Amino acid sequence: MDPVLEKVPSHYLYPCMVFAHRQAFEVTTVLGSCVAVCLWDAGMQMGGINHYMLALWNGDGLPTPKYGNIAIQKLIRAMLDRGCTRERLVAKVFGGGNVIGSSQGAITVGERNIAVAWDLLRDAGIPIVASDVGGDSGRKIIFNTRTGTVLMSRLKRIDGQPLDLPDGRPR
Amino acid sequence: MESSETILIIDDDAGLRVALRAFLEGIGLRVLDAPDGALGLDLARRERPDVVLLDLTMPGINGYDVCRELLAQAAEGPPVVIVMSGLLGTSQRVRAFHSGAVDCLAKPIQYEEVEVRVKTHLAIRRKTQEVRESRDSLGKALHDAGVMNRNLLALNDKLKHSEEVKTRFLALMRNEINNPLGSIMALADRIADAALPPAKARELAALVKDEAFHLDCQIRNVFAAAEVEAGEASPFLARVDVASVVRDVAASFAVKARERDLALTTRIQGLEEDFPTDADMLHHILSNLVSNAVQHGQGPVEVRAGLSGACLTLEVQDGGPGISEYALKSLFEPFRNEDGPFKVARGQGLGLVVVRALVEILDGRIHVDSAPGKGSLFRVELPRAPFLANPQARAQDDNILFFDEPQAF
Repeated sequence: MDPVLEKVPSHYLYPCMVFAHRQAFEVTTVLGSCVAVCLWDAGMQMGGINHYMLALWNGDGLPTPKYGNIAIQKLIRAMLDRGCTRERLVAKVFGGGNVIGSSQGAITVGERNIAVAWDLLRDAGIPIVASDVGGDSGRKIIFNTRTGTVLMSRLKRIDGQPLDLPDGRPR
Repeated sequence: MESSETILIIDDDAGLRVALRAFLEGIGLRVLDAPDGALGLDLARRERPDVVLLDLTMPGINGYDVCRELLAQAAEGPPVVIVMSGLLGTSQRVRAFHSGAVDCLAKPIQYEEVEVRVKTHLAIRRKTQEVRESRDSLGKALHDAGVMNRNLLALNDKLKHSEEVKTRFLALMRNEINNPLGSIMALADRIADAALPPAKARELAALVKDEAFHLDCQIRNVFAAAEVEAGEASPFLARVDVASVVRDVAASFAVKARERDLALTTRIQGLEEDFPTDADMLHHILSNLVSNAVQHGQGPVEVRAGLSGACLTLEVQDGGPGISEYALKSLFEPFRNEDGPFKVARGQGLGLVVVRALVEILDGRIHVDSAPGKGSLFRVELPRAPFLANPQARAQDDNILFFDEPQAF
């Protein structure tokens, strides 16, 4: 089949979800203070992505990928389960903006979310090859699980006011 | 900011006040003045000056008393008091210092000296203020660290609990799955008995159905919890006929409710139109809530659905024993219930944990209103799910948000 005509299926990634697939997908997600970590294995030509809302699980309820520490572990696990090699994994990190409703205290929710990605990826020995984090804009990213490329556009308000995207859900 | 620093002159000598005022204003300070102690104190209360130039010998309240009062009335950030007098012998000076003054100016006033002393004291005062502020913020940081420490300790306890939960998970599951399975097999054996009258067989078959239904609920919860934990419980959004979901769930518990002699009713208002959400999750949330209400119920159960603003509201009201304040705190934790941390009543292991997780995935909220003897009301609010396949289109609709040119990474 002509590769140009081959339509890459798309997937919308909701907050608290993890998506890793051997096939090519264009995974779209929209981030406010949330962070998405994209992992890619060049040897396998496969990628995976998560979307977490808060930095650390506080022990309440289920340990779900709503929390960075859980989401990053689950994503790495999902990649390895599908045949990736840890040493080949590289990461791209996006999000963690300082949007309305996320700045209580000295450190914002976004900053905490970014810090968790930095720490856990370093601990896992996975290099961060690209990132666009922080600031006060929301972001939309489209991650291609086959090529590992990320297309990112910033989400802004036409009137220049700060964004209200506290939970990373598109409005 | 020097310009916002305020000097108060208290002196009965009008000429000196005017001259001193003009001079101090000339070097960029804000100046207030008062002709006697009473007016001066009043002004200081309102204006909170940084430095007070105070005459010692005035009609009315004398300078020493004014000085003590100035310091007493401004417990936080009292002004720097510099006394002025023509009669400044050692004893007056000592008495002034004992009253709280920090410096003296001999009359007749030397303006250059006033400037140097006032500026020096302002500088000291600023530094003191900075030290106080940094001490405060250090105190706050220490406080935050303390809070964080306590949180960590609490987390530690919770993690210990979750470890225990994991080690007991199999035992609990055996209870939840093996018991109904055992009943089903025993019932099946009896149905297989050829001598059994058909009416009896139908009765037993209904029991099998009931046990299997319960088992099905348990297994669905285990799968749902696993899916949520794996981050694979991605919602499938569609326009959902909420009324029929509510009626469907209620119908599936009708037998159970009749068995327990409970009235199970539904009340649906304002849901003529379909509501955008995930139908399966909605079904699952409601099933768990109704299941609990029917199992714990001692009185009628009502399932209500309606719209409140843009949100879908679901309420399940039971006439059960209610939930103690203590149990409410850990209601949504895995494998805890009324009877204590690990005694699991049938169906109480994972249900509410899964409910909360699903509600969160749908960006909604859950609230419980209950007290012992008063029954329980579970209220779920779900926002209208936006159709997000193309958020850009939505953003353009709003005409407020826009995406800039995409960059490749």
